[in-house]
Amino acid sequence: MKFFGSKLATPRRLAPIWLLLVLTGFAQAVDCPRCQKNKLPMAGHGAAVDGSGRLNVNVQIAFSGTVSWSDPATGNTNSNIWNGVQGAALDWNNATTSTGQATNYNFNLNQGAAAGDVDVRIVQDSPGGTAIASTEATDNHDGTFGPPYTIKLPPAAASWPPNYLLAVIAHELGHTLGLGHAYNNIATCGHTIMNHASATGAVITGSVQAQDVATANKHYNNRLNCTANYGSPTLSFSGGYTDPNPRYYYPYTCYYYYDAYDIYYQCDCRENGQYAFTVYVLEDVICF
Amino acid sequence: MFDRRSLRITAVAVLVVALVALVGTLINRRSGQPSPIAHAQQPPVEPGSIDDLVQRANANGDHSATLPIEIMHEDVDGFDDARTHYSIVVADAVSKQSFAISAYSIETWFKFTVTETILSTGPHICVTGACSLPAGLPAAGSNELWLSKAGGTIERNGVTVNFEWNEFPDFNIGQRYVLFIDMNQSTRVGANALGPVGVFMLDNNGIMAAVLGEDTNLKSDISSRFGNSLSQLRNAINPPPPPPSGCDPAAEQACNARGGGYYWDDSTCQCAFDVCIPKPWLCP
Repeated sequence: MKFFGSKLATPRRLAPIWLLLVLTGFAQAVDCPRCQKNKLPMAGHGAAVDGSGRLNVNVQIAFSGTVSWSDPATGNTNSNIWNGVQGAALDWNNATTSTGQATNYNFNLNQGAAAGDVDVRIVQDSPGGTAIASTEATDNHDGTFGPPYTIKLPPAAASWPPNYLLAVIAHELGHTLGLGHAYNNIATCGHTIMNHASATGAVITGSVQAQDVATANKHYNNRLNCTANYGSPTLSFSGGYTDPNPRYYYPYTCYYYYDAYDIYYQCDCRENGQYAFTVYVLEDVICF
Repeated sequence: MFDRRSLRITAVAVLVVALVALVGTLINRRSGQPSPIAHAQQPPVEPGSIDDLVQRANANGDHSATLPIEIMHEDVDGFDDARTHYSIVVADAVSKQSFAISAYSIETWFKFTVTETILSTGPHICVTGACSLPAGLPAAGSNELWLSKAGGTIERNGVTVNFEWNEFPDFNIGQRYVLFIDMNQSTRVGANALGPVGVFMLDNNGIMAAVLGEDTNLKSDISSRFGNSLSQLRNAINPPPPPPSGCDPAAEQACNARGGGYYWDDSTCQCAFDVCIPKPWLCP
């Protein structure tokens, strides 16, 4: 084998390994939005009040303590929050998949539910770090998480535009159904309520979509089929293998070799700055 | 004996009480239609609060409690959207400090040393009066930056409480980052408005790596348009001066005309090749 340089015409033959890897990639479909395998489906409390036979999920807006959404002057729940929660609950209750399947849950805004029967609690509190909103599950101490859930809305939510508030709450309710985020990849993932907001905090997707219901049902039917995890950072900054003498050639060093019959590419690829390695692939360059 | 006036007052009072009771009964019967009326009932323990976690940890004999949180934040359509709304800085994480900011929330403030401000964009979150520092944190110096992030770790009653942002681990102290943030340049305080979407680690070769494993529009743009190279990103925002004299315009034109991954390197006056340009999906 002889070093040839970097100005060689691309060969026309297709390599089997390239085809194999492409096919393998297509075989692993990604959920849009993702669902989390270690989050348990909600058991709910009783049957839905709408008579549908679905599970009743009690949603309660905090009305006491430091996180209350009650107006101290009137004792009534803040009307914007009330309408937002009610609207988001109806949005989920009425949404269906493309084939007409609803979720297995019926969100029920129930201010009279006993403390132990509340599945989702909406509190007034800063999510921290100027975030828009947050959802916390309860740790079951066995590697799984589940209800009751706490949804935090900042004080400013009282004056958010109604449609925006509804979308944010519907997004957070999606987390209680085992859904993760979709990261606004509209081009590849389509619209989903699990998108984030726009660059200026506006709504990206305003209502629950068919694929949101489909993924929620996938989680309900068998959460182990989900591909994401709750509570596990997708990338850890510490630990793992770090090459003590890494060679970082990418992206400028790809060498080309040829023997009597074929042309090979050798690239030093890198992954998240952690390590470098070399692959030899006929026809195409694969950086894992 | 009661006089007639007393009897009339008593009768009216009884009538009012009866009406209130009747209305209350009717409201209670409408179980499927909740109303926004506050209840006096108060749970004994605020579920999900920090104290609740500490109590349960103590009851289980645990010295630590970790609670994942899922955060909704802003996102962008890609690099052009990001540069329109956020500042871009290169900064080293220097220190961090976590605070319980309420009964339910923990927030962590990270101090950075800013090595370069690539783009300064007016804030839409940390406007005047917003994003104030917690008491005890000193104002940032001229080359520093305070950045807040949801979650963190505190100690309470012998229990280590960790609110862990599911998709966004803490900044690594000593690590250099490229940050797309909402930043008030006068107070040197910023908001991590894009969450993990706007955070990239930077290595010694100027290569950016997203901290988020998920595919995002910004991550995809930085890979496909700049080959994850900070210098290429910088050049896109602040174009470099013309190439040094001596570059052959004909050679440059010939190089650019080849396409397929070949590009003219202005700094070296050479035709270079990057396989990641024609096939960005093959590159990390």
